[in-house]
Amino acid sequence: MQLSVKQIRKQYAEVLAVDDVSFEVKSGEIFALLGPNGAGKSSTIRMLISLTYPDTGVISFTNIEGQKITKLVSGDFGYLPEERGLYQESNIQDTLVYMGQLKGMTKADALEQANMWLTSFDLAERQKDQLKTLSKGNQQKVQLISAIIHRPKIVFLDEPFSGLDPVNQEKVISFLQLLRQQGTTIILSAHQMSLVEKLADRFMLMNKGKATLYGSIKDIRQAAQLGTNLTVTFSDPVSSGSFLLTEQIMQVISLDTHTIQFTLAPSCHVPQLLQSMLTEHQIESLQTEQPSLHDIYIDSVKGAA
Amino acid sequence: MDKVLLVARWEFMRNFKWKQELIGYFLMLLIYAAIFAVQMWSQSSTQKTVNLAVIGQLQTELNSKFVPSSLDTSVEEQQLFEKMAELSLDGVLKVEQSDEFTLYIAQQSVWQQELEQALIADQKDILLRAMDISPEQLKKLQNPISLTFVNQAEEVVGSSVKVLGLLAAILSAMAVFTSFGLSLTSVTQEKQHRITEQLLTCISHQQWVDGKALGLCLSSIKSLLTTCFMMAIVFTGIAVFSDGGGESMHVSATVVIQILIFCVLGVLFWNYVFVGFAATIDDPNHSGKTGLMLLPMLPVMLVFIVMGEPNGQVAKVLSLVPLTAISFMPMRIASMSVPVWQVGLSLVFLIAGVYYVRLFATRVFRAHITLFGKEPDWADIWRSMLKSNP
Repeated sequence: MQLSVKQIRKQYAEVLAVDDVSFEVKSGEIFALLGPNGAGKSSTIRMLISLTYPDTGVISFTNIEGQKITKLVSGDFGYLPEERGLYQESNIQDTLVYMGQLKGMTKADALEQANMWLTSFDLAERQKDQLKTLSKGNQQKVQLISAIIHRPKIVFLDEPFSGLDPVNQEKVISFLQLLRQQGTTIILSAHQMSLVEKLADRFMLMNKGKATLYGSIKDIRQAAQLGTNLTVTFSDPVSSGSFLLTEQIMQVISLDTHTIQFTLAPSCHVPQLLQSMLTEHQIESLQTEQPSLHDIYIDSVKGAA
Repeated sequence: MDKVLLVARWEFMRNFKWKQELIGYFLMLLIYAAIFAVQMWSQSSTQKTVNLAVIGQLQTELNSKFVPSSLDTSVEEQQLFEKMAELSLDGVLKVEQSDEFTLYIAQQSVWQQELEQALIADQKDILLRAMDISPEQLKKLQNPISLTFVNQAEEVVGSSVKVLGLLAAILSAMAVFTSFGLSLTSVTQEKQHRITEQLLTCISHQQWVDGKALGLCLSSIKSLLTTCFMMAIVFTGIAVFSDGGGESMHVSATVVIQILIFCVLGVLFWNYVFVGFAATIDDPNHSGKTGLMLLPMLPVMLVFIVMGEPNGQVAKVLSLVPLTAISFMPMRIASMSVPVWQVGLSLVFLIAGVYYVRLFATRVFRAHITLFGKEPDWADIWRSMLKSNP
């Protein structure tokens, strides 16, 4: 299932929630919407699943057969809303079966899927318990199961990592990777940059309703124009003053008497730079570090502020 | 339709906690049995004879329950009061004049009223003799005419029509209030637990409202029928254990079916109202709109006012209005033989009422079920009722 969004816009009273946003999601990929609170991520997801409708712009899906669809039907997609909630007083298995049936499954199929997922999330023994008796992390797992119990072709997850401890975050990552292996297209929104960076195939950074950066991590790094960090440890003591700022070297910071950190421009040719350094100094070790998504995200938000 | 039935089943089963209900009904039966047993015990253990010290001269003899020991005035009252305190005497009756008495007692008991009645009866006899009136003449004076009521509606409706009318009104009111509680809890809980968005990705607003109204209606009717069943058990029990004192109640099947149809449609009507309005409430404990949900109190209160005149103008008109039909028509059907055209017209109005209330309730529900925080004001609700498109 592919998704194409063209110039969508959504205004609530005085607030422009989404402003001229366009992007595409390929079949079977994990696509992440990133941005601070109020950036327009949840509003975008709500429009994608027709909970609300864009004031202008076009949203269309292309199914495996190549047919264009303007609105998804309930059996085709799964949704984990930002505001979590299921029936607290009802038993977990009944709730999952009910949600599955509402999404078009037979009772037997829903029961089988519910049991399979509960087992894989170590919740099989709790299937007859009320949801409210589970910890927050386990409730979140049940929520996830409820979103994908009907084997949807495309899944929308609004902040799937919020409220989870690191162990459960890793479990959710494995779960999403498993879904991707099964060919499910996943669109998620998140704040946890480090988690999303290793999980998603492509990203869109949003701020104040607008898309600020969009593409793969490589595209985004290139577009963000943030330099790579090169940390060099020299055999002899050196000072940062011995290196001049050039078009290629954007920043020089002395970390200790022997170690200097250079922030290099994206256009910098590193071997050439190192060669020129070696003419004057002996290098003991060196390390390069690409700007993380977190750095790009912070820079993008700051830049827009 | 499948999804409507799924939601209806879910709502019904969510409120159907059979273990708790069985325990509740068992306790209710136990309480009825305990009340009945204590009543019987109290009747059987009433004091058989009363030892009464009489100071002065009684002009007549008291009935055999009272064992008076006449004393002359030389006996010290204080001595009698001491005996009474020791409970060897039940009371001291002082004859002040032939028609004026003072009764001293150590503790209150039922026999004291009986003694008063006995003294009044004796005094009446004395007065009648003095006026030279025979008991037959007195009876004639007290009941100068004889009027027998023949309620021809009993032939159609069955016996005990008054009881049945009252019962029908109470039970239909009970079903509406059960619906009120269930729908308010059900909708606001889903809002508070943030289930709304997930459900709306699976079902339409219309399916959700229909399923909910239907499921909650079934829950209320189930409560109503179970209560009827329990009442039948209790009445049968009373009839069996009270020496045939319980009146057998004959009700025709047509009447029961007619009442049931109005109950079901009326409860469905009110459930749509409740489900629609509940969507505008975030927290029932702090909402200013919960008061409006008490609107069904109106037909219930009114029905008790006009119950004595089931064929009066007020009862006739209000049994045709969909808002009040649930209370008035079952009461009228149970109390009298209602003309078929009135039953039919009321049914048509009620069905039309259900259709329109469903339409408006869904519009209100659709506009407010996903909104949290600031509750809509009345103007917002009115606008959403008139807005046909999302």
